[in-house]
Amino acid sequence: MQNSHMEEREFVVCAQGLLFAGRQILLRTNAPKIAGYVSDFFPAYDMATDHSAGPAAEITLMITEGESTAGDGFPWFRGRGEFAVAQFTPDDTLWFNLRARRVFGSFSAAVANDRERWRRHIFPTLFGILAAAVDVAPVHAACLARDTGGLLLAAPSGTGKSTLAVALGRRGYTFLSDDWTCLALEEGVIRASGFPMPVKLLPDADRFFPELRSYRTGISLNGELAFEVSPVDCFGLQRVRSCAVTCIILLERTGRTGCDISEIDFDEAAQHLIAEIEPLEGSLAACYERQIDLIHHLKGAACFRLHFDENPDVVAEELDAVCGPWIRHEHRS
Amino acid sequence: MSTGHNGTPASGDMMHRRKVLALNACFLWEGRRIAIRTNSVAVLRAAASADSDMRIAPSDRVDMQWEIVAEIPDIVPRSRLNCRVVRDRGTVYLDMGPSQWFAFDSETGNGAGFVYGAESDEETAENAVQYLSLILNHLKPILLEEEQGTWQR
Repeated sequence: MQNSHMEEREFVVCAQGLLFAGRQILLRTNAPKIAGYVSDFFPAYDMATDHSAGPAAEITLMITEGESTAGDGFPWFRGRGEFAVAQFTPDDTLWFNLRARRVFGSFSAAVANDRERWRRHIFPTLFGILAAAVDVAPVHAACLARDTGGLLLAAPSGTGKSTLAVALGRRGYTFLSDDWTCLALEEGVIRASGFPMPVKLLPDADRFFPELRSYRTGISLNGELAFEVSPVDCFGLQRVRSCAVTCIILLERTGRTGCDISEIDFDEAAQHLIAEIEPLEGSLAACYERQIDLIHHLKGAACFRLHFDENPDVVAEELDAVCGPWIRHEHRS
Repeated sequence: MSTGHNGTPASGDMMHRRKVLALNACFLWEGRRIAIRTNSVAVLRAAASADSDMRIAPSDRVDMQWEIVAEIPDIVPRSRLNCRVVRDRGTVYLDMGPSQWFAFDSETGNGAGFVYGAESDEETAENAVQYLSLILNHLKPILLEEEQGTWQR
Protein backbone atom coordinates (compact mmCIF):
# COMPACT_ATOMS: atom_id res chain seq x y z
CA MET A 1 0.00 0.00 0.00
CA GLN A 2 1.54 3.32 -1.06
CA ASN A 3 0.88 6.47 0.87
CA SER A 4 1.78 10.05 0.11
CA HIS A 5 1.03 13.24 1.97
CA MET A 6 0.80 16.86 1.02
CA GLU A 7 -0.04 19.93 3.00
CA GLU A 8 -0.82 23.41 1.82
CA ARG A 9 1.37 25.20 4.34
CA GLU A 10 4.51 23.52 2.99
CA PHE A 11 4.52 25.08 -0.44
CA VAL A 12 2.52 28.25 -1.04
CA VAL A 13 4.72 30.85 -2.72
CA CYS A 14 2.20 33.37 -4.01
CA ALA A 15 -1.23 34.60 -3.10
CA GLN A 16 -3.53 36.88 -5.03
CA GLY A 17 -7.11 38.07 -5.02
CA LEU A 18 -9.52 37.44 -7.87
CA LEU A 19 -13.14 38.39 -8.46
CA PHE A 20 -15.62 35.67 -9.37
CA ALA A 21 -19.13 37.03 -10.04
CA GLY A 22 -18.24 39.97 -7.82
CA ARG A 23 -17.04 37.70 -4.99
CA GLN A 24 -13.55 38.16 -3.58
CA ILE A 25 -11.63 34.91 -3.74
CA LEU A 26 -8.14 34.33 -2.35
CA LEU A 27 -5.95 32.10 -4.51
CA ARG A 28 -2.74 30.58 -3.18
CA THR A 29 -0.38 28.51 -5.24
CA ASN A 30 3.18 27.26 -5.55
CA ALA A 31 3.14 28.01 -9.29
CA PRO A 32 3.39 31.61 -10.55
CA LYS A 33 2.16 30.26 -13.90
CA ILE A 34 -1.23 29.40 -12.37
CA ALA A 35 -1.42 32.84 -10.82
CA GLY A 36 -0.81 34.18 -14.35
CA TYR A 37 -3.73 32.19 -15.78
CA VAL A 38 -5.99 33.56 -13.08
CA SER A 39 -4.93 37.11 -13.93
CA ASP A 40 -5.71 36.44 -17.60
CA PHE A 41 -9.19 35.08 -16.95
CA PHE A 42 -10.53 36.88 -13.88
CA PRO A 43 -10.49 40.49 -12.68
CA ALA A 44 -8.13 41.01 -9.77
CA TYR A 45 -8.79 42.60 -6.40
CA ASP A 46 -6.09 44.08 -4.26
CA MET A 47 -5.98 42.24 -0.96
CA ALA A 48 -3.57 44.80 0.49
CA THR A 49 -5.96 47.72 0.10
CA ASP A 50 -9.24 45.88 0.65
CA HIS A 51 -10.22 45.96 4.30
CA SER A 52 -13.58 44.22 4.06
CA ALA A 53 -14.52 41.08 5.95
CA GLY A 54 -12.08 38.89 4.02
CA PRO A 55 -12.36 36.58 1.03
CA ALA A 56 -15.59 34.74 0.31
CA ALA A 57 -13.56 31.59 -0.39
CA GLU A 58 -9.99 30.35 -0.47
CA ILE A 59 -8.47 28.24 -3.22
CA THR A 60 -5.10 26.52 -2.90
CA LEU A 61 -3.60 25.01 -6.05
CA MET A 62 -0.51 22.86 -5.76
CA ILE A 63 1.56 21.75 -8.72
CA THR A 64 3.53 18.56 -8.16
CA GLU A 65 6.54 17.30 -10.06
CA GLY A 66 4.97 13.99 -11.07
CA GLU A 67 3.70 13.07 -14.50
CA SER A 68 0.01 13.10 -15.38
CA THR A 69 -1.13 9.56 -16.08
CA ALA A 70 -3.90 8.90 -18.54
CA GLY A 71 -7.00 7.01 -17.46
CA ASP A 72 -10.45 6.12 -18.74
CA GLY A 73 -13.62 7.57 -17.25
CA PHE A 74 -12.34 11.08 -16.62
CA PRO A 75 -13.35 13.72 -15.78
CA TRP A 76 -15.09 12.24 -12.75
CA PHE A 77 -17.19 14.28 -10.33
CA ARG A 78 -18.77 13.26 -7.04
CA GLY A 79 -20.15 15.12 -4.05
CA ARG A 80 -21.68 14.27 -0.68
CA GLY A 81 -22.63 16.62 2.13
CA GLU A 82 -20.32 19.60 2.08
CA PHE A 83 -17.60 17.74 0.23
CA ALA A 84 -16.96 17.32 -3.48
CA VAL A 85 -14.23 15.96 -5.70
CA ALA A 86 -13.44 16.71 -9.35
CA GLN A 87 -10.84 14.43 -10.94
CA PHE A 88 -9.53 15.33 -14.38
CA THR A 89 -6.97 12.50 -14.49
CA PRO A 90 -5.81 10.13 -11.74
CA ASP A 91 -3.19 12.79 -10.84
CA ASP A 92 -5.15 16.01 -11.31
CA THR A 93 -7.81 16.63 -8.68
CA LEU A 94 -9.81 19.39 -7.02
CA TRP A 95 -11.14 18.86 -3.46
CA PHE A 96 -13.93 20.99 -2.04
CA ASN A 97 -15.14 21.68 1.49
CA LEU A 98 -18.08 23.91 0.61
CA ARG A 99 -19.06 24.54 4.23
CA ALA A 100 -15.60 25.95 4.88
CA ARG A 101 -15.58 27.56 1.41
CA ARG A 102 -12.17 26.09 0.70
CA VAL A 103 -10.85 24.35 -2.40
CA PHE A 104 -7.61 22.39 -2.62
CA GLY A 105 -6.24 21.33 -5.98
CA SER A 106 -3.32 19.08 -6.81
CA PHE A 107 -2.11 19.06 -10.41
CA SER A 108 0.73 17.58 -12.40
CA ALA A 109 3.26 19.80 -14.15
CA ALA A 110 1.88 18.67 -17.53
CA VAL A 111 -1.61 19.93 -16.75
CA ALA A 112 -0.19 23.06 -15.11
CA ASN A 113 1.46 23.93 -18.43
CA ASP A 114 -1.78 23.51 -20.39
CA ARG A 115 -3.30 27.00 -20.24
CA GLU A 116 -6.28 26.10 -22.45
CA ARG A 117 -7.22 23.22 -20.19
CA TRP A 118 -7.46 25.61 -17.26
CA ARG A 119 -9.62 27.96 -19.32
CA ARG A 120 -11.91 25.32 -20.83
CA HIS A 121 -12.19 22.68 -18.11
CA ILE A 122 -10.57 23.36 -14.77
CA PHE A 123 -11.66 26.92 -13.93
CA PRO A 124 -15.28 26.39 -15.08
CA THR A 125 -15.51 23.19 -13.02
CA LEU A 126 -13.87 24.76 -9.99
CA PHE A 127 -16.10 27.83 -9.94
CA GLY A 128 -19.19 25.91 -11.02
CA ILE A 129 -18.93 23.67 -7.94
CA LEU A 130 -17.85 26.48 -5.60
CA ALA A 131 -20.63 28.83 -6.79
CA ALA A 132 -23.36 27.73 -4.36
CA ALA A 133 -21.07 28.24 -1.36
CA VAL A 134 -20.43 31.89 -2.28
CA ASP A 135 -24.05 32.77 -3.12
CA VAL A 136 -23.71 32.57 -6.88
CA ALA A 137 -26.30 30.75 -9.02
CA PRO A 138 -25.02 29.20 -12.25
CA VAL A 139 -27.87 28.87 -14.77
CA HIS A 140 -27.86 26.94 -18.02
CA ALA A 141 -28.19 29.96 -20.28
CA ALA A 142 -26.27 32.02 -22.79
CA CYS A 143 -26.03 35.72 -22.02
CA LEU A 144 -25.57 38.81 -24.21
CA ALA A 145 -25.42 42.46 -23.27
CA ARG A 146 -26.71 45.54 -25.08
CA ASP A 147 -26.29 49.07 -23.77
CA THR A 148 -27.14 48.87 -20.05
CA GLY A 149 -29.19 45.67 -20.28
CA GLY A 150 -28.70 42.03 -21.00
CA LEU A 151 -30.64 38.93 -22.04
CA LEU A 152 -30.46 35.35 -20.89
CA LEU A 153 -31.12 32.64 -23.50
CA ALA A 154 -32.13 29.63 -21.40
CA ALA A 155 -32.43 26.16 -22.86
CA PRO A 156 -31.16 22.61 -22.52
CA SER A 157 -28.02 21.52 -24.38
CA GLY A 158 -28.47 21.07 -28.11
CA THR A 159 -31.25 23.65 -28.47
CA GLY A 160 -29.09 26.23 -30.20
CA LYS A 161 -28.08 28.70 -27.46
CA SER A 162 -24.52 29.06 -28.75
CA THR A 163 -25.52 29.44 -32.38
CA LEU A 164 -28.10 32.09 -31.53
CA ALA A 165 -25.65 33.84 -29.20
CA VAL A 166 -23.13 34.16 -32.03
CA ALA A 167 -25.84 35.38 -34.43
CA LEU A 168 -26.93 38.03 -31.90
CA GLY A 169 -23.27 38.95 -31.39
CA ARG A 170 -23.00 39.62 -35.10
CA ARG A 171 -26.01 41.96 -34.80
CA GLY A 172 -24.18 44.15 -32.30
CA TYR A 173 -24.89 42.40 -28.99
CA THR A 174 -21.89 41.95 -26.70
CA PHE A 175 -21.05 38.34 -25.92
CA LEU A 176 -20.91 37.24 -22.28
CA SER A 177 -21.42 33.45 -22.31
CA ASP A 178 -22.92 30.76 -24.51
CA ASP A 179 -23.72 27.92 -22.10
CA TRP A 180 -23.49 28.70 -18.38
CA THR A 181 -24.05 32.10 -16.81
CA CYS A 182 -23.46 32.99 -13.16
CA LEU A 183 -26.01 35.18 -11.39
CA ALA A 184 -25.10 37.07 -8.25
CA LEU A 185 -26.42 39.98 -6.24
CA GLU A 186 -24.10 42.96 -6.44
CA GLU A 187 -25.09 46.18 -4.65
CA GLY A 188 -28.75 45.12 -4.64
CA VAL A 189 -28.89 44.26 -8.33
CA ILE A 190 -28.60 40.85 -10.00
CA ARG A 191 -25.71 40.77 -12.42
CA ALA A 192 -24.74 38.07 -14.85
CA SER A 193 -21.14 37.04 -15.38
CA GLY A 194 -19.48 34.41 -17.49
CA PHE A 195 -16.47 32.17 -17.54
CA PRO A 196 -13.58 33.00 -19.85
CA MET A 197 -14.44 30.07 -22.04
CA PRO A 198 -14.51 29.62 -25.80
CA VAL A 199 -17.91 29.41 -27.49
CA LYS A 200 -18.89 25.78 -28.20
CA LEU A 201 -20.60 25.06 -31.52
CA LEU A 202 -21.61 21.67 -32.87
CA PRO A 203 -19.89 20.51 -36.08
CA ASP A 204 -22.85 21.43 -38.32
CA ALA A 205 -22.67 25.08 -37.22
CA ASP A 206 -20.26 25.72 -40.11
CA ARG A 207 -23.38 25.81 -42.33
CA PHE A 208 -24.21 29.18 -40.79
CA PHE A 209 -20.75 30.36 -39.85
CA PRO A 210 -18.21 29.71 -42.65
CA GLU A 211 -15.52 31.21 -40.39
CA LEU A 212 -15.51 27.87 -38.56
CA ARG A 213 -14.15 26.02 -41.58
CA SER A 214 -10.62 27.11 -40.76
CA TYR A 215 -10.91 25.55 -37.28
CA ARG A 216 -10.90 21.91 -36.20
CA THR A 217 -13.45 20.20 -34.00
CA GLY A 218 -12.35 18.52 -30.77
CA ILE A 219 -13.79 16.62 -27.81
CA SER A 220 -15.29 19.02 -25.28
CA LEU A 221 -15.52 18.51 -21.49
CA ASN A 222 -18.85 16.69 -21.71
CA GLY A 223 -17.57 14.37 -24.42
CA GLU A 224 -19.28 16.07 -27.39
CA LEU A 225 -17.47 16.67 -30.66
CA ALA A 226 -17.56 20.44 -31.16
CA PHE A 227 -15.80 23.56 -32.34
CA GLU A 228 -14.50 25.48 -29.33
CA VAL A 229 -13.41 28.89 -30.57
CA SER A 230 -12.84 32.35 -29.23
CA PRO A 231 -15.90 34.46 -30.08
CA VAL A 232 -13.56 37.45 -30.39
CA ASP A 233 -10.93 35.88 -32.65
CA CYS A 234 -13.25 33.73 -34.78
CA PHE A 235 -16.25 36.04 -35.20
CA GLY A 236 -14.88 39.44 -34.21
CA LEU A 237 -17.46 39.77 -31.39
CA GLN A 238 -17.12 42.12 -28.45
CA ARG A 239 -16.89 40.37 -25.08
CA VAL A 240 -17.99 41.65 -21.66
CA ARG A 241 -17.38 40.17 -18.20
CA SER A 242 -20.69 41.10 -16.61
CA CYS A 243 -24.01 42.82 -17.26
CA ALA A 244 -27.43 43.45 -15.75
CA VAL A 245 -30.25 41.04 -16.72
CA THR A 246 -33.28 42.78 -18.22
CA CYS A 247 -34.73 40.05 -20.42
CA ILE A 248 -35.12 36.25 -20.14
CA ILE A 249 -35.86 34.12 -23.20
CA LEU A 250 -36.76 30.43 -22.93
CA LEU A 251 -35.74 28.68 -26.16
CA GLU A 252 -37.61 25.73 -27.64
CA ARG A 253 -36.91 23.91 -30.88
CA THR A 254 -40.14 23.12 -32.70
CA GLY A 255 -39.12 20.96 -35.65
CA ARG A 256 -41.10 23.16 -38.05
CA THR A 257 -39.60 26.05 -39.94
CA GLY A 258 -40.27 29.49 -38.49
CA CYS A 259 -39.89 31.60 -35.42
CA ASP A 260 -42.54 32.51 -32.86
CA ILE A 261 -41.97 34.78 -29.87
CA SER A 262 -44.55 35.15 -27.10
CA GLU A 263 -44.46 36.97 -23.78
CA ILE A 264 -44.66 34.78 -20.65
CA ASP A 265 -45.03 35.35 -16.90
CA PHE A 266 -41.92 35.86 -14.82
CA ASP A 267 -42.91 32.86 -12.66
CA GLU A 268 -42.74 30.56 -15.68
CA ALA A 269 -39.27 31.79 -16.59
CA ALA A 270 -38.13 31.62 -12.97
CA GLN A 271 -39.33 28.03 -12.60
CA HIS A 272 -37.31 27.07 -15.66
CA LEU A 273 -34.13 28.65 -14.26
CA ILE A 274 -34.68 27.20 -10.78
CA ALA A 275 -35.11 23.71 -12.22
CA GLU A 276 -31.59 23.98 -13.63
CA ILE A 277 -30.00 24.62 -10.23
CA GLU A 278 -28.76 21.53 -8.44
CA PRO A 279 -30.66 21.06 -5.16
CA LEU A 280 -28.35 20.91 -2.15
CA GLU A 281 -29.27 19.36 1.17
CA GLY A 282 -28.03 19.12 4.73
CA SER A 283 -25.43 21.71 5.65
CA LEU A 284 -25.69 23.24 2.15
CA ALA A 285 -29.50 23.57 2.10
CA ALA A 286 -29.28 27.26 3.02
CA CYS A 287 -26.94 27.85 0.05
CA TYR A 288 -29.53 26.35 -2.26
CA GLU A 289 -32.28 28.52 -0.74
CA ARG A 290 -30.18 31.62 -1.36
CA GLN A 291 -29.65 30.57 -4.98
CA ILE A 292 -33.44 30.33 -5.41
CA ASP A 293 -33.78 33.82 -3.90
CA LEU A 294 -31.31 35.12 -6.47
CA ILE A 295 -33.56 33.93 -9.29
CA HIS A 296 -36.56 35.68 -7.72
CA HIS A 297 -34.56 38.90 -7.66
CA LEU A 298 -34.81 38.86 -11.48
CA LYS A 299 -38.51 39.81 -11.19
CA GLY A 300 -38.99 42.85 -13.37
CA ALA A 301 -37.12 41.35 -16.30
CA ALA A 302 -39.18 40.95 -19.49
CA CYS A 303 -39.78 37.24 -20.19
CA PHE A 304 -40.46 35.52 -23.51
CA ARG A 305 -40.71 32.05 -24.98
CA LEU A 306 -39.13 31.57 -28.39
CA HIS A 307 -40.21 28.61 -30.53
CA PHE A 308 -37.96 28.27 -33.55
CA ASP A 309 -36.40 26.14 -36.21
CA GLU A 310 -34.82 28.61 -38.55
CA ASN A 311 -31.53 30.07 -39.74
CA PRO A 312 -29.95 31.70 -36.63
CA ASP A 313 -29.50 35.04 -38.39
CA VAL A 314 -33.26 35.19 -39.09
CA VAL A 315 -34.09 34.22 -35.50
CA ALA A 316 -31.63 36.81 -34.17
CA GLU A 317 -33.23 39.51 -36.31
CA GLU A 318 -36.76 38.69 -35.08
CA LEU A 319 -35.60 38.36 -31.48
CA ASP A 320 -33.87 41.73 -31.68
CA ALA A 321 -36.99 43.34 -33.13
CA VAL A 322 -39.26 42.03 -30.34
CA CYS A 323 -36.95 41.95 -27.33
CA GLY A 324 -34.38 44.61 -28.23
CA PRO A 325 -36.43 47.51 -26.83
CA TRP A 326 -36.85 45.64 -23.53
CA ILE A 327 -33.13 44.90 -23.32
CA ARG A 328 -32.26 48.51 -24.07
CA HIS A 329 -34.93 49.73 -21.61
CA GLU A 330 -36.64 51.62 -24.49
CA HIS A 331 -39.92 49.77 -23.90
CA ARG A 332 -40.46 51.25 -20.47
CA SER A 333 -39.06 54.72 -21.07
CA MET B 1 -21.68 23.70 -15.42
CA SER B 2 -21.76 20.38 -17.01
CA THR B 3 -20.45 18.04 -14.37
CA GLY B 4 -21.99 14.83 -15.61
CA HIS B 5 -19.19 12.82 -17.09
CA ASN B 6 -21.60 11.06 -19.44
CA GLY B 7 -22.36 14.38 -21.08
CA THR B 8 -25.74 15.03 -19.54
CA PRO B 9 -25.72 18.43 -17.92
CA ALA B 10 -28.18 19.28 -15.20
CA SER B 11 -29.63 15.80 -15.22
CA GLY B 12 -30.92 15.93 -11.68
CA ASP B 13 -28.09 14.56 -9.61
CA MET B 14 -24.94 15.29 -11.55
CA MET B 15 -22.52 14.50 -8.75
CA HIS B 16 -24.51 11.62 -7.25
CA ARG B 17 -25.02 13.77 -4.14
CA ARG B 18 -28.50 12.55 -3.38
CA LYS B 19 -28.09 8.80 -3.52
CA VAL B 20 -30.36 7.37 -0.80
CA LEU B 21 -28.43 5.97 2.17
CA ALA B 22 -30.95 3.78 3.98
CA LEU B 23 -28.58 1.88 6.28
CA ASN B 24 -26.99 3.27 9.40
CA ALA B 25 -25.16 2.17 12.49
CA CYS B 26 -23.25 3.81 15.30
CA PHE B 27 -19.74 2.82 16.39
CA LEU B 28 -17.48 3.71 19.28
CA TRP B 29 -13.92 4.36 18.12
CA GLU B 30 -11.08 6.08 19.94
CA GLY B 31 -13.57 7.35 22.52
CA ARG B 32 -15.79 8.96 19.88
CA ARG B 33 -19.16 7.85 18.58
CA ILE B 34 -19.40 7.75 14.82
CA ALA B 35 -22.75 7.42 13.04
CA ILE B 36 -22.24 5.89 9.60
CA ARG B 37 -24.94 6.11 6.94
CA THR B 38 -24.49 4.09 3.80
CA ASN B 39 -26.26 2.16 1.07
CA SER B 40 -24.07 -0.92 1.55
CA VAL B 41 -24.24 -3.67 4.14
CA ALA B 42 -20.60 -4.40 3.29
CA VAL B 43 -19.58 -0.93 4.51
CA LEU B 44 -21.23 -1.43 7.91
CA ARG B 45 -19.73 -4.91 8.27
CA ALA B 46 -16.35 -3.52 7.26
CA ALA B 47 -16.63 -0.72 9.81
CA ALA B 48 -17.15 -3.29 12.54
CA SER B 49 -14.02 -5.19 11.55
CA ALA B 50 -11.69 -2.56 10.09
CA ASP B 51 -10.08 -1.64 13.40
CA SER B 52 -9.77 -3.64 16.58
CA ASP B 53 -10.90 -0.61 18.62
CA MET B 54 -14.17 -0.23 16.72
CA ARG B 55 -17.29 -1.32 18.64
CA ILE B 56 -21.00 -1.12 17.91
CA ALA B 57 -22.49 1.62 20.12
CA PRO B 58 -25.88 3.12 20.93
CA SER B 59 -26.84 6.02 18.69
CA ASP B 60 -28.40 8.30 21.32
CA ARG B 61 -25.60 10.81 20.86
CA VAL B 62 -22.91 10.98 18.20
CA ASP B 63 -19.65 12.91 17.83
CA MET B 64 -19.17 12.38 14.12
CA GLN B 65 -21.47 11.72 11.18
CA TRP B 66 -20.10 9.96 8.15
CA GLU B 67 -21.86 9.18 4.89
CA ILE B 68 -20.34 6.55 2.61
CA VAL B 69 -21.80 5.84 -0.80
CA ALA B 70 -21.00 2.53 -2.46
CA GLU B 71 -21.36 2.40 -6.21
CA ILE B 72 -20.20 0.28 -9.08
CA PRO B 73 -18.01 2.63 -11.09
CA ASP B 74 -17.57 2.89 -14.83
CA ILE B 75 -13.87 2.26 -14.38
CA VAL B 76 -12.45 -0.52 -12.25
CA PRO B 77 -10.02 0.85 -9.65
CA ARG B 78 -6.39 -0.20 -9.51
CA SER B 79 -5.95 -3.61 -7.94
CA ARG B 80 -4.00 -2.25 -4.97
CA LEU B 81 -5.25 0.79 -3.10
CA ASN B 82 -2.95 3.80 -3.25
CA CYS B 83 -3.78 6.33 -0.59
CA ARG B 84 -2.83 9.94 -1.00
CA VAL B 85 -3.54 12.23 1.95
CA VAL B 86 -4.25 15.92 1.46
CA ARG B 87 -4.65 18.22 4.46
CA ASP B 88 -6.17 21.65 3.97
CA ARG B 89 -6.53 23.38 7.34
CA GLY B 90 -9.16 21.40 9.25
CA THR B 91 -10.10 19.15 6.35
CA VAL B 92 -8.46 15.86 5.47
CA TYR B 93 -8.96 14.32 2.03
CA LEU B 94 -8.05 10.71 1.34
CA ASP B 95 -7.67 9.95 -2.33
CA MET B 96 -7.84 6.20 -2.81
CA GLY B 97 -7.59 6.08 -6.57
CA PRO B 98 -10.32 6.35 -9.20
CA SER B 99 -13.84 6.05 -7.77
CA GLN B 100 -12.76 6.09 -4.13
CA TRP B 101 -12.26 8.95 -1.72
CA PHE B 102 -13.13 10.12 1.76
CA ALA B 103 -13.17 13.64 3.21
CA PHE B 104 -13.28 14.59 6.88
CA ASP B 105 -13.87 17.98 8.48
CA SER B 106 -12.35 17.99 11.96
CA GLU B 107 -14.31 21.11 12.90
CA THR B 108 -17.72 19.45 12.47
CA GLY B 109 -16.83 15.75 12.65
CA ASN B 110 -18.59 15.30 9.34
CA GLY B 111 -17.14 12.88 6.84
CA ALA B 112 -18.23 11.62 3.45
CA GLY B 113 -16.92 9.55 0.63
CA PHE B 114 -17.43 7.07 -2.15
CA VAL B 115 -16.30 3.45 -2.16
CA TYR B 116 -16.04 0.96 -4.97
CA GLY B 117 -18.81 -1.64 -4.89
CA ALA B 118 -17.91 -4.62 -7.04
CA GLU B 119 -20.15 -7.06 -8.86
CA SER B 120 -19.18 -9.83 -6.44
CA ASP B 121 -20.06 -9.61 -2.74
CA GLU B 122 -16.69 -11.03 -1.78
CA GLU B 123 -14.75 -8.37 -3.67
CA THR B 124 -17.03 -5.61 -2.35
CA ALA B 125 -16.51 -6.79 1.23
CA GLU B 126 -12.75 -7.05 0.84
CA ASN B 127 -12.49 -3.60 -0.69
CA ALA B 128 -14.78 -2.05 1.94
CA VAL B 129 -12.54 -3.37 4.73
CA GLN B 130 -9.44 -1.92 3.03
CA TYR B 131 -11.23 1.40 2.47
CA LEU B 132 -12.41 1.71 6.08
CA SER B 133 -9.03 0.58 7.43
CA LEU B 134 -7.28 3.30 5.44
CA ILE B 135 -9.68 5.93 6.73
CA LEU B 136 -9.27 4.89 10.35
CA ASN B 137 -5.48 4.51 10.07
CA HIS B 138 -5.11 7.99 8.67
CA LEU B 139 -7.61 9.73 10.93
CA LYS B 140 -6.30 8.19 14.15
CA PRO B 141 -3.09 10.28 14.35
CA ILE B 142 -4.94 13.36 13.16
CA LEU B 143 -7.55 13.06 15.89
CA LEU B 144 -4.77 12.48 18.38
CA GLU B 145 -3.01 15.64 17.18
CA GLU B 146 -6.24 17.51 17.59
CA GLU B 147 -6.69 16.23 21.14
CA GLN B 148 -3.15 17.30 21.98
CA GLY B 149 -3.68 20.67 20.33
CA THR B 150 -0.94 20.18 17.75
CA TRP B 151 -3.28 20.11 14.75
CA GLN B 152 -2.59 23.17 12.60
CA ARG B 153 -5.76 24.69 11.23
